[in-house]
Amino acid sequence: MTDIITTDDILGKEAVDPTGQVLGTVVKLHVNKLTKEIVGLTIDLGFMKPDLFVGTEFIKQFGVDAILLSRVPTDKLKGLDVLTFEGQEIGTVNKVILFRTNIKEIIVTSKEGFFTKEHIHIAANQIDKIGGSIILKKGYKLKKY
Amino acid sequence: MLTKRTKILSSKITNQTILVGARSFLGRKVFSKSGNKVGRVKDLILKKDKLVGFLVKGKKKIFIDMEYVASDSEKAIMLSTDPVIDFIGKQVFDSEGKKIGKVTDLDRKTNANNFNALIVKHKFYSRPIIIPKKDVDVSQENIILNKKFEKK
Repeated sequence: MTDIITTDDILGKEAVDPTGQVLGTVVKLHVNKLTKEIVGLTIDLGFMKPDLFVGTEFIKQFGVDAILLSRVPTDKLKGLDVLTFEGQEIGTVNKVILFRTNIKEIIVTSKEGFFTKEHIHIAANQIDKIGGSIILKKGYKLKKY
Repeated sequence: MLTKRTKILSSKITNQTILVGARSFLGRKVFSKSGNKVGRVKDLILKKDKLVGFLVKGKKKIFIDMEYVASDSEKAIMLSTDPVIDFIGKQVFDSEGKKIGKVTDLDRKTNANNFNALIVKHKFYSRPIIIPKKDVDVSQENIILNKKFEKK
């Protein structure tokens, strides 16, 4: 019986991604009405932000005070600054392209120019670190499309 | 800033292009190894005639020794590490999602970028909880431990 939890134990709890960031509050539970299985959660990310649906395959743990997720939502990458290894700012992430559940490519809006924005495609294998910003690997060469 | 027009009076400097004015460092953004913005360079710290580090102002004022500088460009300085001082104020969760509290201080023996334990408080009036470094799994946006926390 100690493995059984109720909606009280899930709804209203904070959702925490693997980096420790509190994404928001769990507001909905989604159930498949045919199989009666929980298929995911909806997380309220905050004011003026669209809600995030997370499938149960990305839930690591239903914790006492928080729901731990097993991967970082790709939406989190949007708006992050992209820097070269030497710290030069290239632009900000505009879009994330996935292949199945892995990042395949990011599309970066260049910081240069006010009226015309260039879009730069960067493959996932060129990314060194993803944190508060995205840092590219040493020796990255800028390709513009 | 030294230009071609600048006259040089030095018996040691033959190539002025390798010289960089101290003022050009001021205001540069400083990023940690994880890409988090630590702050901006507020001042250069010298020991006798040698540059030993930077005073960086972000959420806190930190002196960062040159040993932690991985690279620098005209726009930014990249660190080779994530400053442990940034842990202060972060929330701590255990491996089962239980919220333990916030980091109020670090137990550090030296000024090196290292710590022995986190000092965590659930509320400001609570007794501090000491969490040894070996129990820390993730330390980025917030801190997640690698084990279940049990109150003693």
